[in-house]
Amino acid sequence: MIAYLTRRLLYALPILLGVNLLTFALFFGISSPDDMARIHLGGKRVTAEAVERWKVQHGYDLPNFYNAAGEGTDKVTQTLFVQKSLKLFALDFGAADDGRDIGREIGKRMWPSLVVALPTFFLGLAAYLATALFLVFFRNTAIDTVGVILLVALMSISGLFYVIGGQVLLAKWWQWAPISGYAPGFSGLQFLLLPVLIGVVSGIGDSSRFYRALFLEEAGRDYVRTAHAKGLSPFRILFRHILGNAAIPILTGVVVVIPRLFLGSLILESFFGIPGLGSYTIDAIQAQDFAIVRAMVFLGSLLYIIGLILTDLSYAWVDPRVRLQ
Amino acid sequence: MLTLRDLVVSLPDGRHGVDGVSLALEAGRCLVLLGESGCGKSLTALSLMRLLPEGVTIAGGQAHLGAQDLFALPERRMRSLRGGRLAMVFQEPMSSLNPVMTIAAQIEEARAAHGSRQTVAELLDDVGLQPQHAQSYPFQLSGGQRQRALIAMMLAGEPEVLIADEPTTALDVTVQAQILRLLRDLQSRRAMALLLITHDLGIAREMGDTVAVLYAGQVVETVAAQDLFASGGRHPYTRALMQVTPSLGRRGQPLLSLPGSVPLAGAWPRGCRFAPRCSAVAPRCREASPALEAGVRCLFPVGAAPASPDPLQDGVPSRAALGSSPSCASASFGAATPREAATEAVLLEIKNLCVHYPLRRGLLQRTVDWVRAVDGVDLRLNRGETLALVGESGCGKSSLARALLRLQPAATVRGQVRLNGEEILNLRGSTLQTLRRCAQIVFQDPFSSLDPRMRVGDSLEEGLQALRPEMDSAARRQQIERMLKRVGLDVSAMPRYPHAFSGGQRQRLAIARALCIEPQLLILDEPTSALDVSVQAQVLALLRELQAEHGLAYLFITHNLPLVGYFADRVAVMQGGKIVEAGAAESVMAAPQHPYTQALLASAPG
Repeated sequence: MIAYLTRRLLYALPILLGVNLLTFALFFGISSPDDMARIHLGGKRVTAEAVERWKVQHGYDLPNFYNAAGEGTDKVTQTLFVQKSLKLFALDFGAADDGRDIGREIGKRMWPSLVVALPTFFLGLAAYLATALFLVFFRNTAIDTVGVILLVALMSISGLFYVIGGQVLLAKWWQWAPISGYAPGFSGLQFLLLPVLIGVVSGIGDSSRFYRALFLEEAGRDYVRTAHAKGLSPFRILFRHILGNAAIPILTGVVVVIPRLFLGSLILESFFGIPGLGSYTIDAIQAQDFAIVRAMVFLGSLLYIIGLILTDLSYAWVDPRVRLQ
Repeated sequence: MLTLRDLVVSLPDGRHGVDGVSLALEAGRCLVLLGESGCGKSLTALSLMRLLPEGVTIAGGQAHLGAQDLFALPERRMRSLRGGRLAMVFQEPMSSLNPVMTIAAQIEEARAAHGSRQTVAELLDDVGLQPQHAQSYPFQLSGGQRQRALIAMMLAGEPEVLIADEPTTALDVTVQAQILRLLRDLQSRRAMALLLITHDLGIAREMGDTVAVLYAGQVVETVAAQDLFASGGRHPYTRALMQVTPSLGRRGQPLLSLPGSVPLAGAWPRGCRFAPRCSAVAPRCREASPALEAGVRCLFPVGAAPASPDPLQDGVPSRAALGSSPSCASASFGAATPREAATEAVLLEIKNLCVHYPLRRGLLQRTVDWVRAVDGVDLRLNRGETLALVGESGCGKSSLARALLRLQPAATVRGQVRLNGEEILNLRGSTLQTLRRCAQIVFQDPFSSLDPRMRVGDSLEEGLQALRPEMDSAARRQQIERMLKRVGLDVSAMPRYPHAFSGGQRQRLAIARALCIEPQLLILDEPTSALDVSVQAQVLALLRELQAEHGLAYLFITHNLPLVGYFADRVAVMQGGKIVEAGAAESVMAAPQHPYTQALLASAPG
């Protein structure tokens, strides 16, 4: 198992390096530092000196891969690729355009993201599983048919509608919770109510339908017939046998997103004014702050790869066929 | 003890899958339900358990277990009967067990549901499993052990009736013999009634006290097992079943060739349902539906009583001719002499062939050991000859076949294989294409070996295009038409998709596909094991004819020993990657020398 894990981690390195090179090519090949400077300085009447000054200020006055002017190792290290891209590996994200350290900002904004994303994730998972199990228990009845129609209706509605509709209905008219805002600690609990609820509801159509399909597939298997032939109760068959086996595809689909919960949700955070990483990214895109976007893209890939490795480990955990072979 | 009367099972489209089946089981006795696929055997069994698939319903009939009316019980009470007084074992032991629960947990569940007096350890011991198997998961057990575990679960509720639905069909022949012995042993020890469902006459003969033959949703004959095998049965279908089954004793004779195939569930013909395939059909048979009288559902049954099987007694003369009716394959059949003249030329010569798979371990995935699937095999196959390769699952016979066709990664194969005197293991590019022209294969499962989204004509033409580039499209079409006709299909098959054909027809298509190329060597990998016996006889007859016509050499891979005795010229018995015995089929089957061959033959039921 340790050999396997080591091998997987080693495999991850070339992938990350590839991601790094690719983002570098996208950010520095397609739009040069000169373009960045012009965008930030604004308009067409920007002098060449102003561009140079901006580049020096923000550390973009270096060649891409090879610095002929440098000495010794500086020839390689004093380049945009090393300074701006490779340093991401050391989680050194550099400074944003406003001069603030991106790494420290991420460390600070991670918590509000998690405070919203974690309950949304776990409450959501529980709600989707319960809905799917409920429908499967009543399969081939009117309850199932109506349920599926409802789910399809729910998944046909745009996610933005849930946000705006929820804010209008629950916050403005019924005044159950504040429309938006954020406060740390227990006093901030009231602010979480609406984004978590909306996060859960907006995913219910898709996920419950998917889980229902997984459960139905398991319900048609031979071992379920054996369980019936043993005289087991339908509850036991549903929870012990069907859920136990369907947990394998469900869990592995779910585990992959867990590391990325840190990054928060772009839509929820920006609509509810939560100062997390999601709104950080959105703001950076709007402000054309490439340093932040680059850092978030790299972090996203890193967390995704970690998610994939966790997925493979969780396979071994839930499936004895993987664990014991 | 268990009686079933006039069971009617209705399929989702309203047609009947079982149509008036009546059975009676007695304590300590075994009733065999015998029939080909689609005749309603499993539906009957699942009806008794009330475990029919969704949409399939019991539309009529009564079932009584003792005083309990099974079809009238509320579901809750029925649940306590399932796995209790009435238990069932299924065909596929792997998929019938929960893959993520240990054997002990699965047995414990059944114990808890029925308040069993026996412990898990006692139940395991009853079915011949060791205590250490309790904590195993199904995938860690062999096929036979899995089936034993399934039986242990079903014994937990101390059943009075055990239904076994093709319990050994997925198992090797030696394991099959063990499981059948276990079932018979349990039946007598626990005085259970056993309802055994099978398509295998040998199993019926070995296990049954009474045999009920099912055809097209009806019982066509109920007969004491010993009478059945003494007289050959009274219903023409029963008799035909006996005569389409290949065996060493039938060697050199044509098998009875039943035309057509078992009608699809619900699409029964009018009148007697067997009439369209019956060689002794009379005009009345197509009009009147016969009733089950004195154990036979036939207007003109053979013999007045089972004890005196006189085929002429009821005055239907054609009945006597059943064994050699005009529908039998042509006389070209027993003619071994013309083939022998041409056989001296060696077509395929295999020397010291090895297929070794590397086992990789550790951080750097170094090869730590090898799985020796094929380990030093020498074989020779002459033109126009049939060599049977016999062995149980995992013995390496399929790896061998793949290596011969160069479908096996080259790095795993060592040794020499000469086809027409040319070494083929190092062929590349266009010379490899030449090999593919000379050697073709027909796979076991005709349902998965044809691309379901390609028209039959396109599937056949694809191979021709690749391997016979000299043919233009008109020539290809002509060739396909010729081959389709040769295997008993016609041009109308070309624009259709595989799902429009029955299993037997698909296997004919697979044979036509292989023969289009005009190979010299045809590898037949269990070509009939997915087919009903009556269809198997048709395919065998076709293979015989084609061999006589084209001088084809067959490498016939199978685990079916009676079939080897019937069909093969020579046989090689494979165990653990090695050939343990080889020789003329007749002498090996009659007097096996190697202990493994002897064990295989002793295990074959019947």
